[in-house]
Amino acid sequence: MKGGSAAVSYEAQISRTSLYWLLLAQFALVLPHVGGLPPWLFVVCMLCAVWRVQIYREKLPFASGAMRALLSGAALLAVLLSFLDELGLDATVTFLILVFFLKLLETRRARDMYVTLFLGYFVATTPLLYGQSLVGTAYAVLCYLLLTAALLSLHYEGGDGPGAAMARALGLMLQGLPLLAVLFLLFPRVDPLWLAPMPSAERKAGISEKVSLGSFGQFARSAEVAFRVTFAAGVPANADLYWRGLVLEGFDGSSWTVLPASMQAAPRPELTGGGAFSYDVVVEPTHQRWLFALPLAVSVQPGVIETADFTLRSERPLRARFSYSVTSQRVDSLRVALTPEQRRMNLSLPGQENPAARALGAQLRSQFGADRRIVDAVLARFSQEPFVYTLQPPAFATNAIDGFLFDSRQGYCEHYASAFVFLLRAAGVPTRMVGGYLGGEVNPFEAYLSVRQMDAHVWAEVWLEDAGWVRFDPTAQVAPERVLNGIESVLLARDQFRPDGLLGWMAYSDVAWLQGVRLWWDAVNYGWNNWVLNYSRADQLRWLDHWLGRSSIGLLAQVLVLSLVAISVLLLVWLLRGLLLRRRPPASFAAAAVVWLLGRLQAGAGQQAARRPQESMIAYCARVAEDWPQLKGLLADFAAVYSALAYADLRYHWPRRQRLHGLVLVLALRVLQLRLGLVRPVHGRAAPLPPPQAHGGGPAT
Amino acid sequence: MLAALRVRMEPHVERWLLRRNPPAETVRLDHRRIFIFPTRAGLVYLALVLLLLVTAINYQNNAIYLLAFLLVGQLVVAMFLTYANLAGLRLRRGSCVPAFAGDRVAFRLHLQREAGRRHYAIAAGWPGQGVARSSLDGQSEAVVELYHDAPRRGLLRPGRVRVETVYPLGLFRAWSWQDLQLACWVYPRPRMVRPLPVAARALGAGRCSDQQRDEFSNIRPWRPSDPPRQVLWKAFAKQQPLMTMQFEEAQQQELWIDEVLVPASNPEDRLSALCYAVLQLSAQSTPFGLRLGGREIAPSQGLEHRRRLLEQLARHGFSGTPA
Repeated sequence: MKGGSAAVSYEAQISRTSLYWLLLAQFALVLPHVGGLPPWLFVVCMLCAVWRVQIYREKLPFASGAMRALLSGAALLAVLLSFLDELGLDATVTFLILVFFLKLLETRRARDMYVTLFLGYFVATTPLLYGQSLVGTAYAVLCYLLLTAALLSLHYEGGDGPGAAMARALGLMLQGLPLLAVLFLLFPRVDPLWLAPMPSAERKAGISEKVSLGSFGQFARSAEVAFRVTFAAGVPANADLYWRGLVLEGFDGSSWTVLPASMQAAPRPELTGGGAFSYDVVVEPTHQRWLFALPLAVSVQPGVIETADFTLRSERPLRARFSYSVTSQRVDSLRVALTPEQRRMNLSLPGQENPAARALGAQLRSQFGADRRIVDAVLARFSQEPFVYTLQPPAFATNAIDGFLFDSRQGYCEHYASAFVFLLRAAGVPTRMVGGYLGGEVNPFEAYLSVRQMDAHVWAEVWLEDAGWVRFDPTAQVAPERVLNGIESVLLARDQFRPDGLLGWMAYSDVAWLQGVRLWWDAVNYGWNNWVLNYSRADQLRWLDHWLGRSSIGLLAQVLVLSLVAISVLLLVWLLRGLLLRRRPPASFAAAAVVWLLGRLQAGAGQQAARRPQESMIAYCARVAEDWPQLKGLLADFAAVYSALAYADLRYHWPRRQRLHGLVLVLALRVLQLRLGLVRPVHGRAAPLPPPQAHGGGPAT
Repeated sequence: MLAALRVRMEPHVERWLLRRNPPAETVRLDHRRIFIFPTRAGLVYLALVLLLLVTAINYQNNAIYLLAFLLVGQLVVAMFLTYANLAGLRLRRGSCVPAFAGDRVAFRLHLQREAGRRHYAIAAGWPGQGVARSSLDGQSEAVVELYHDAPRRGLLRPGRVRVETVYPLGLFRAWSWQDLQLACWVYPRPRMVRPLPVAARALGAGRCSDQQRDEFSNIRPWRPSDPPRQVLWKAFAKQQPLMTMQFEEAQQQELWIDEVLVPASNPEDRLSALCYAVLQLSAQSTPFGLRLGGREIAPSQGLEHRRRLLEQLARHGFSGTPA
């Protein structure tokens, strides 16, 4: 017998309902980790679940103390061995899931189940550390729902089947939504308390700082969104959507790289003249620092650096979705002078590879002389010779550019740009490669542009004496539709495109409604990113300033506390509504209204016939009906309906209430008619004449 | 130290409770009578919420913020529901089942709900004693039996009964201490004595409880106190109502259980012996009376007589009446 004040003990065995909700929740919890964490983990989880079911069926015993110690030790060892190289977030999550399942073997009583379930709430949250997609979050909420149902079934065994616990859990969560909203909007977003380890599954996404032949092929199949753009005014034409991200000036003989010098922050010249337009970009996490913008881009956003090569960069690698505002100006060229060092870098062709291309470059120089004429000659070469745009070009181990230019003549943007830059550098024209995206898809639901990984593109910039850096896209010579209409048109036309994944498949199906669903879903995700995930302290303070005229974190906290109190009070009133309305007898308003109406009627006729303290509604109505026979049927109906509501505990009988209210309304109209003398009294004592029994005070029956 | 503080504070708490929740046979639980506090699980839950919040802050993760606040909302709703689950509940004192010292007394407690209200997983009892659980879902009243140890003979007043609930999530406990003026007599613990302290005041002499010499006299309908061997089982087996054979003793006599016949000197021991005698004699069909402390209870038979005698033994030496 236990002492203490706890009268209720949690020694009760776990019921079947509770156990099944728990197992269901656990199954749901590990599902998103399949594929990400070591496979043996799931085998162990399955074994634990089966063991627990067998315990319930009394086929197997609970794990003994020694057994539990052994299993825990083995689990720890297995985690250490599996994650030898890095004990990061993955190892932690694996260990948590293991503990979560091993705990099953000793979950005997309700008390043990709390720990298991609370652990479950945490495990359900961990996938969101890897990515905060709408689907992922919704799935975590579903897991929470299952866990809450399991928690609830410890205390509630409704006779309405196992679904009752789930319905109640759902109700519990829904009623908490106002609090959730207030907290989410007003809880001050503070800076990280300490630097947390990031998921080890962190992988760089999107274009990398090193481009070599073939490195863009991976993107062409990916329908994943790279970034989304909302334009303040209209969306420019597809051919103007050259999203500059990386300027690749370094060349090591086979691949192009970004030079550290050009990544330095540099003051941007003033935007002069017209043609400026602004837009907001929300870029998906890439774990890199590139930001994409249309030339010539200016951004005053904190955390965004304007670099010397006229790109924008983030101060930190993009671990989460990042949004920034940009103002761009349409320019024909980037007018800057070229330092000798820059000239040298943009002419360098180290190594001896691709001798034919080098020779061709030298020949072009001697043949045409002027830089601009050399450029035109190279472009003409691409359009006149039988070059083909394809995503499956033959690969060459060495002298890849020679192979492409003189042998296969098949390739995609990267091949054309590489060859273009190589030839021009060989001819002594300062040229560089630019990486980014071209085009994008306008979403009709939300009027924004989504740019996908398959829109990745490289082109070239040539420095011309009279103009500065001028953009040339050699791919346009071969596949102009790529530039004008976007990548899909090219790929669909050549029937060589098969994007990955469900969304990719939907993107290129001919079914119109599938297209609609895909675009709608993209719009929903955009809203989720824009309104929920990007919600930040800046937004909080802006709202506060908008509503209250001033803003500070302290004020935010005050508003939060006040709102929480207000919402809590409303919530309490809502939850206790049955209790608060208790004192009022049912239908008392209707009764009071009728008594008042009849009182006015009687008083108008000079009668004293108020309802007596102990008089029932039926008796009172009958008494008044004697004076006013016209109302007899109406009053009898009212009295009957009222009595049923008031005394038979039918207060929630909705049709009856409606009928009661209807009767009161009709009665009020009739009384008004009588008072105004619109209806002549049929007969009886109630009349403009004084009643015969003036001092009766009521019928003398 | 905490225990010492508790002991020192207890009278103050008692007085305060007495003022706040005066004794009554029927109470309706309202905000003045209900206390609420997080359970240990509730505190762990709170720690979990904090952990999620810190994670959200450190990873600047709005989705985790969302989930942490979902848990907060759930916590607050659960707190209100726990309170609402007790609020409006009516407690009414019911009858009690007396017991012998050393056994457990059963008190009946009526739980009643108001129209349109529901109460789930209500537990009632005393700390360290048994706990009864009940729900008021469809039915408007539930009766729970609360057992309380009865170590000593006399009037057992278990004091304030604790009614509590942790529904729906077990994160909060709402409770109420109500003095329903529960009281029940505790009979002496029977102690075997031989010979029985019984005197026969008879026309004839001698002690006689030997059934063999009795003569069959009558058959009458069965009464609960009838000894089994006098029941006409054969007739019952033929689906006839239970009947009892009556025997008339060969010699008419009155049996008296008398305090002075008990050898023990300790008054409690004497009462225990008398109790044993009452139980023995009431299993037989002989009328018997009791002489105790100068009072006499006239000879009679039956369950009611037995109850009167046992209660007389229980209240011997105490003044006042149980409620």
